[in-house]
Amino acid sequence: MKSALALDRNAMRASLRLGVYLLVITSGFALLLSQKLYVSSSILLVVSAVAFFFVPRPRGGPLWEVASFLYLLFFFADWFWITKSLAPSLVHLFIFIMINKLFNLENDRDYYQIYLLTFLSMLAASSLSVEIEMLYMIILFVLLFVWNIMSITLVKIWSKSDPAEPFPFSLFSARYWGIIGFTGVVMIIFALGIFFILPRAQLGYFGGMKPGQTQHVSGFSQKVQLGDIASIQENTGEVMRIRVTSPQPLTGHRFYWRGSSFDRYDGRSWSTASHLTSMLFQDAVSSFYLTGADVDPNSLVKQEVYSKPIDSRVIFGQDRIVKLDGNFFAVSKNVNNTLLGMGNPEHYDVYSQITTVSPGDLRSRRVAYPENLKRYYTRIDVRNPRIEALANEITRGSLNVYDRTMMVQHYLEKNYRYTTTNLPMSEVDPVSTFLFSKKMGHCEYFATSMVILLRYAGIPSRLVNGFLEGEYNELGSFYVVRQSDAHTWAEVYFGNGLWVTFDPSPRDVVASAGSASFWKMFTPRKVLDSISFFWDRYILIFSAQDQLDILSSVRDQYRETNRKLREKTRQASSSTARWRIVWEQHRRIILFAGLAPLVFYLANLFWKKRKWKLEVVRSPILFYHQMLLRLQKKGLVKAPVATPAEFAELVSRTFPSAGGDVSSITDLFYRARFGNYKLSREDQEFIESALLRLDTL
Amino acid sequence: MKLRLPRFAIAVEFTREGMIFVLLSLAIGAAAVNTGNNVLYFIFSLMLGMIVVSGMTSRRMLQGLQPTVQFPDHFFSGVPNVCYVSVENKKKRIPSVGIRFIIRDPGFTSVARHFFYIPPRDHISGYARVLFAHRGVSHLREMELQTHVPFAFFLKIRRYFANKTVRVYPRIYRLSEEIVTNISEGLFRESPYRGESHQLLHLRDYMPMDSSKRIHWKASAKAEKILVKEYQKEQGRDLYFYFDCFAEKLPDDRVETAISFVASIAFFFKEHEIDARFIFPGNTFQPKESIHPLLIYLAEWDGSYAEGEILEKPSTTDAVALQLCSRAFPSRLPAVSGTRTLFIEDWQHLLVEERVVQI
Repeated sequence: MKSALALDRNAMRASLRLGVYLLVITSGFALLLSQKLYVSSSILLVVSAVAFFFVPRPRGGPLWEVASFLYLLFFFADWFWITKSLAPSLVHLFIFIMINKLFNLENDRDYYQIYLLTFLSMLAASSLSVEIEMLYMIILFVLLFVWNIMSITLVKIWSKSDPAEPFPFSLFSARYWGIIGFTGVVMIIFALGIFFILPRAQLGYFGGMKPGQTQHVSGFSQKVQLGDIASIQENTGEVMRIRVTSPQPLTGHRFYWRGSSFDRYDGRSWSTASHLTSMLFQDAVSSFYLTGADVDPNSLVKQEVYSKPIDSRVIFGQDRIVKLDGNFFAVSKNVNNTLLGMGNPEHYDVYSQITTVSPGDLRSRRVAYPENLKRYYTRIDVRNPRIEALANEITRGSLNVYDRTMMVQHYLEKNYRYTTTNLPMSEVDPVSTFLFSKKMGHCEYFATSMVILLRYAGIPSRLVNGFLEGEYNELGSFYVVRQSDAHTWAEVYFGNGLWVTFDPSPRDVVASAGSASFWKMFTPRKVLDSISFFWDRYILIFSAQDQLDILSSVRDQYRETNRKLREKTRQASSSTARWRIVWEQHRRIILFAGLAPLVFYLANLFWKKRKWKLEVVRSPILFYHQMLLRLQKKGLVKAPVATPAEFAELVSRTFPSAGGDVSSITDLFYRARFGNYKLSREDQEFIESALLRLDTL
Repeated sequence: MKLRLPRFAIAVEFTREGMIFVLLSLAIGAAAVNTGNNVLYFIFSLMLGMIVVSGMTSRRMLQGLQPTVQFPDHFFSGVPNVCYVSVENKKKRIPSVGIRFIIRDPGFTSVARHFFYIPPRDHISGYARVLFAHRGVSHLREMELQTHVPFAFFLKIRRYFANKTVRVYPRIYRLSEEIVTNISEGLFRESPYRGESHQLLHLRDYMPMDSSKRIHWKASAKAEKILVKEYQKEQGRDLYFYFDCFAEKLPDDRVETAISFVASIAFFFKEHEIDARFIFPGNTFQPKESIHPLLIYLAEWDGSYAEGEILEKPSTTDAVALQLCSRAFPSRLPAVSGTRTLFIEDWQHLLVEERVVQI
């Protein structure tokens, strides 16, 4: 027993040691993920692995004291000369102390010190990076931390208890890990609740901290070369996530997230001819307005844009943008309605007025173009007679602007192929090469060609760079817009300030919202995207305003429900009628509240009965007793002096039909009770059925 | 005026690790509020969540537990003893882990016992060491079950009311030969009568019904007939032992030593079946019949002198009277002729070796 206990103690210590190493390695990976401390975190990981595998029992000594003294000198050098900053040099110091402790892990105090150091390292890592991967590291760290703290507490308590008592379970057993996991989950649930309730002193702003690498997205600067958009279409990096809230259903609507618009084409690149910009009006709550006209706010489609860091100040949204909410210093607009924000927050809300104009309305419009409009939007710097002839040929036979536009669009869709490779890269006139030679290209070529052809036809049009709607995530109800969704299309003017989007590119349409089957909603990528969205939206940028919004929403919902109920019950003539109205309004809740306890009670009863039944058939005393009870009800009582075998014979004489069952049960009782016989599954089933038969005797 | 805070049935005490954890949480919370950094808010929330879970789990560990403790009937001061502790877990499914039974009642000695694992619907028992440093009556009013589980940040305590009284008898010393000789000086005399003492009176012929243990084999062999030993009758003098060691201010170490001295002598006399009377103001005890009344009295008596109490005087003229006094305190008892005085200061240096006695 003594040696077994010693083994137990050693096994416990080894388990704790392994736990500490896992914790250190996790914090090392977290520091690595922060993308700021590659060297030091790599050293920590390598040394941890070496220490664990090659140094079974770390020993301290004077060497470590010397190393500690030397490192102290290095710390100041690191602070004042190498990193020139306190924070990273402190993290380096933590790493050194952790390595020191790993080789000097003797008593409980050492373990607690390592726990503290790994915690501080995780704190540093999570302050340096806010990517979604850091959330996974935090969760893993929390689970390991809980395991370590709980295990060392249990081992300490066990050491103080009865010395003859062995440790009752393994620290790596599934059950124990199940308890740890459950504790971690409960902790996170409480943490989320506390997180959402905690009052915010600031508005969830990072305080100037760099959230990660900035992506380069070309095509949204003041001048874009033909082909700029194609270069980012090969990249599947995420650009932004957009959640759309609409007062009316938008079934079948395809979103185009408008970015930059250009009106001047010089044969190779697009730009905006006029440098005129205007600043948007800003109110007291960081809302920017684009139009002075009264627009019913309830008719606007709200788009919550969560943007990854990109090197462009363009604000994206569905046309026509009416209002903008965001932490911008200022927002400007040019003549082509391109919005540029100063400040570049990661989140902003765009409110758009989506007006669907039917082809019939567009067809019936009689448009007169002012001269200044024609100067910009029908301008062709370098005329090409061949393209002009093509434009005339395509649009022959119609005077209607809409029909002529559609003719051009159909022509391009039918006669040209979409590709992102083997592009018509001509030094001189890429559009001509596309239209007459290659006859294939990507969206920029299609859109540019359309705009040029329409201008030759005298129809004002412009080019727009932006993004297609992206992939819809049903779990989180948001669109994931990637660089590969970058797109170019045309806008055509129909008078009275109405610009209509036309997209001539025969590009594959991305699955729109609501079209995915149930199981396709739970693909790993969508699940991870949802988690990432939740992390960004509800943790990283959760602000006091969000808290107010939640409270207001709950309050408004409550008031609305109350108001409706009061209105209906006011009309009721009697209290019975009033209760009937309450029932009609809330019958689901009432049914659930009333039935749920009943269902629970019945389920519990059923389970207890089932459990009791199982116990009866497994226990020889119980099943024999149950048999006696049943026979007692039939008038057959076993005398105390009678043996079970004698009683069975009596039953056979009195109830011959039951004699067989009773004899068999008696036989099983003898064997199980006195003969150490273990009842098989068949025996149990037989007993159950025999007892049922006795009921029907 | 002493402020008395309400004592809750379940209380919490911080451990060192818990204090560090809480301070760290507050620091991170302050940093979060200061910077508005939501990641810090999240970490702060996780730490608070950990504290909440810790509280809930430790409370659950202590729920459904019922401790009981049984003390032996007799305790001697300075002698380690054990008590029997049992803890029952009435919970249906949840075991209790890391439970510590402890008595921290100020009016009682401290007792502690750890139980690592108490299965559901089961109980666990064990012995716990008990040591009373001083004689007296100790009342147990409260006992506790504590746990550090799950994270050892806090010590969760659940208090249980108790109502037990334990009498602690004075310390018993082994009496040296010097003390014994001095005390028993003049106590015994020879007797011509038959009796049951250990002193041999004479040998006589064997008679039927005599016990074979009394046969003197050597003499029988010599005489070639069976001879049986006959013993003297007890013919000791009566011993009256007066306690006259009363201090002005109590408690006093010299009084305690004197009480232990008296108890040790009483044990010696009982073991050697010496008839003696121990006389205290208002009380007389004869340990030969039963030592319990004397021990109980010595456990409960506070050592004070009760004025006007009658003292029993020796009934025969040849009785031996001893009076235990202290040079530090004046004698309170009336003089009894022929009394020999013993001063505790002369003998206390010989009271070194404690002995464990069984009653």
